[in-house]
Amino acid sequence: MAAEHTLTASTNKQPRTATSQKLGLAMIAASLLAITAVVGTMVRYQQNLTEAQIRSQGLSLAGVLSRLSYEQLTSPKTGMGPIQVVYQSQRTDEFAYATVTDRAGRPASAAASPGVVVPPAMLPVTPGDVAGERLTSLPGSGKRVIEFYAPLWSEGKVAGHVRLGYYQPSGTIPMAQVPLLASLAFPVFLLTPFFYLLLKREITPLKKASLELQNQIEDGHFKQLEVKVSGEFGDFIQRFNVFMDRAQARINELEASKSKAEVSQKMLSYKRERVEAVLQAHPDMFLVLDETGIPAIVSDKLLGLLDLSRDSVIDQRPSVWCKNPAVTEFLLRCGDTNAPGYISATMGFAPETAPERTIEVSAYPLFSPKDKAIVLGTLVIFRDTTESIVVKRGQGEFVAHIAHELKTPLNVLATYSEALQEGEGKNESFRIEAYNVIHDEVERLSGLISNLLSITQIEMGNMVIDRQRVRIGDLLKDALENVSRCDKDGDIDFQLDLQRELPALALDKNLFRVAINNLLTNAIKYSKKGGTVVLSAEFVDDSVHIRVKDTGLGIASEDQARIFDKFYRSESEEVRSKPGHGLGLALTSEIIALHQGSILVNSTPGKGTEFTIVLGKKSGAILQGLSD
Amino acid sequence: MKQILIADDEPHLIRVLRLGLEKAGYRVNAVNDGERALAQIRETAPDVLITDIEMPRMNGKELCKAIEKEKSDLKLLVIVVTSHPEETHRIWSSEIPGITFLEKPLSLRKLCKLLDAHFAALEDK
Repeated sequence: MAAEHTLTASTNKQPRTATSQKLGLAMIAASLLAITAVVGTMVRYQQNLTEAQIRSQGLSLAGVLSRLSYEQLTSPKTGMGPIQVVYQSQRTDEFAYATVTDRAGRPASAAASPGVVVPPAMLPVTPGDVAGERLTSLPGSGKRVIEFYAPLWSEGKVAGHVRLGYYQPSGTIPMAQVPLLASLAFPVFLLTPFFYLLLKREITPLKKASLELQNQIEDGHFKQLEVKVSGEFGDFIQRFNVFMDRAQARINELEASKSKAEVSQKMLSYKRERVEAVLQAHPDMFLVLDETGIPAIVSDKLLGLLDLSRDSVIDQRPSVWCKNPAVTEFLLRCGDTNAPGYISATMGFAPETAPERTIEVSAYPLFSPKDKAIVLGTLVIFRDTTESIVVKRGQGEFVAHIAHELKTPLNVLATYSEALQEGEGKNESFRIEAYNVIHDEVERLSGLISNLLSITQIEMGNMVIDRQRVRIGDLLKDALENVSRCDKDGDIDFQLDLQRELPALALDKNLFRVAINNLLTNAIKYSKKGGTVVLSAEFVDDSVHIRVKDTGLGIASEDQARIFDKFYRSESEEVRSKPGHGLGLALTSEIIALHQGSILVNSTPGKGTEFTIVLGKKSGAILQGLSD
Repeated sequence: MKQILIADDEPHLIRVLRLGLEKAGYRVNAVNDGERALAQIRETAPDVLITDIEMPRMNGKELCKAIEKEKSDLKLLVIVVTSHPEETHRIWSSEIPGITFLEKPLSLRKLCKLLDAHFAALEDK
């Protein structure tokens, strides 16, 4: 983990040697400077000392000489006078000249070092300045000279001046002091390599530590510095290592908490994805609003219905994307958790993008599992109720149909019975007609109710078929005989065409009989006079085909697709003139479906119709062995 | 003689209504679908129409709506024989006013009383 911390570091190792050389040179320069400073200070000190000696000597000598009179100092005019004596006695390297000048500054007596020209006198301006010193320079050589002067008296008046000139001490090193200075400079110079080595010895571990740090920075892997050193730097390294340990521990802690955070983030993201996946799999459309009423999650189905993109909905106020004002207002109310009566609410609307659909919107507050007083947001469910409305409408229509179908024969019964009561009963022919009509209508009612019960039971899944071994040939023969009895006028030619070797079938005998009966009665009902009804059965391609064929009215092509629908009757006048309630074929189709068979219709209007029941191997109806 | 038109696809009902109404002194015409009923109304201008709702081609409601459009020049009593519940009648009446409903099963006696009252009221005017 630490290796991940790659620090960028400058890797210029070359200047390190140069730095070391520079350090050596700097130390030599420093030692030379130190020597120069020491020598300079000494020379300066020596100069000051000499100057003080000259001043003390000059002033005191000028003072002594000024006590003598002018005449004393100027006589004799030739030979060794007092001035020459003074000159001789003071004859040192520093002494330049001694002279006496009169009041006008003219020299009266003088003694000077060889080659020295005494500078002209500078007469005092004020009485107080009659004695003193001045700095001047020798004419010709230009050497700097300190001149001490004092007045000479004669008869109570200043008759002239005595002047003593000393060379000003120069800043040069006197040759005599060279050995001393050299002996002072040598140890200083010797200290240089000593300090250099000492410094180098101290610096080496620092350099090692630095190099190690450099390598660690380059490797990106941090560990303790392994530099063996004692003293202050050793302490520093120890503390530094402790610091590094703690820093590493802290880094490890941070790494651990970072990976924990990553794991929990992944978990959160996974949980969120899972919740979203669960929600997305829900058949209803939904929208999850946060506590401020802003969408946080939206189902793909809702986006599809409203023809919106996810980005246009998520984090956007409903007023921005919702085109239906009523729904917008509803959603805004969901966001307002303080609104009175906010618990759950429902509304319905037809979306602009699918106006034929009816969408029911329900809002449910999402309470915090820890504190039910806290509302985390709102779950808004958009339920497409179009289908259930259609189903409800369908159920209503079904009931209305039944009522109509039941009341129609009742209507006939009521009117006929009333007519019989009203006196029409005396009329013989009407009475017979009424008996027949009443009988037929009662039969019709009974048939209708039986069909209705059967079909309802099948549709509700309550009908359990009771399969028995059936000799299909016998069943068909019996059915045709029964039905042919209804044709009292003998207008129709009934034919039975059975293949000889039909397999035995496993069928619910009673139900299958109803199905065949319905097909046969339909065939008779819609047959013309002199028509033919053929009932046939054959075993082809592992399937039993049972056909009911008539030469009757036929079924219009537009009606063929709907003849198996409940209560469907053709608009055709010829069909409508025959009694019927539109349940027979629906029931037949349901019964065949219960037997896992299929029913097909083939009809030509005006020529006739053929219904084919196919019971294949898959239906489980075909048994081993022959029916006979 | 007052003229009555019956529109119904149930032949037995037509038969017995015709019998009863003719006996009560009305002239009766019968058709078995809405389209024919409308054509007959335009042609013969009957005084009363007795119609079923479920009929081929044009059903009772469509027939009533078509009559409503031409009502200004037709003085016609429309009696709808119905098996629908009363709720349906109210919806119908709000759309097509002036319809009399008679519930199935129909009573000839009640029908004759209704017709007598209707014609008596007309004569009083």
